[in-house]
Amino acid sequence: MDGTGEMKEKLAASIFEVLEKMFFVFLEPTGDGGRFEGFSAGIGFRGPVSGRLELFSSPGVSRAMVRNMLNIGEGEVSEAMLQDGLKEAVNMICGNFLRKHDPSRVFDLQIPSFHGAEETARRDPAPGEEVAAALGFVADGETLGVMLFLDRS
Amino acid sequence: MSFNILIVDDSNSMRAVIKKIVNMSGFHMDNCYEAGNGKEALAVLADAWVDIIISDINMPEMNGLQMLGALKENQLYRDIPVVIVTTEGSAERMEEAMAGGAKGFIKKPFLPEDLKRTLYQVVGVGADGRYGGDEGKTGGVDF
Repeated sequence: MDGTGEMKEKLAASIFEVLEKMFFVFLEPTGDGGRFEGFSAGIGFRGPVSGRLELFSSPGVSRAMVRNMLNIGEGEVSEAMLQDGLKEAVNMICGNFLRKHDPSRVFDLQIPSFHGAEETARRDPAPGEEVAAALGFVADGETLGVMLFLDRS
Repeated sequence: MSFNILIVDDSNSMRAVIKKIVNMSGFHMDNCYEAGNGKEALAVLADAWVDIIISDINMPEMNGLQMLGALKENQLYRDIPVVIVTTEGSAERMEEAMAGGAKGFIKKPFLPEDLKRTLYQVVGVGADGRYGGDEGKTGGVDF
């Protein structure tokens, strides 16, 4: 993988691109490393490097993403839409980041999964993993965070 | 000329977004069918006439590349143009999809214009609905 700084820059660029283009959410980076709580969705990837990407999103940002993507009202946002929207977001961020990282190599993306707000263990590296990046953002006082875990092997 | 379109994506939200963009683009859509993976798409094709397929790659049960393979093997389906819309955008994956029979490739996230332009190119129809049209010259569709 790239050096830490370059990798973080590429990951941040992917997050901005996906959130702005598909969800019309405009984020500002936080300087404190961010808050990794709220709803979460994750996706694993295999390739020249392997790991997983986890997206953590507070309820307000999550609902805004779904509203904007589908152009629907607040009262129309369902739990299923919320789960589907966050899974699609983490899928797009991961794919976008990996092709920024190395467009010449093939990465196999797994099927994204949604995790409830209470599943905080997703923030911790599993045995054999290390945290490669943890980026935090705010939008209208709500928080969004992304963590990249890479396999050590 | 109207087209029957099949949208294949395991995300309900993404199918809804694609359907909306196609509708807004001025593309003449007759029927819009939906499927959550390649296997479901083949089931739709068994019952309905489809003119163009817009498909993701990363899906459970049967992914988009496997679906392309199945379409290629079937004489009735092999000429249906397929546009791949996916997050998997490596050069090798693109070549794999095009070699498998895909006629267009769009990387997520995408702008409505990207999908519109590719659709018109694939079916050879301009934004004014005329065959052989050049959507770059016709314009007239606002998102």
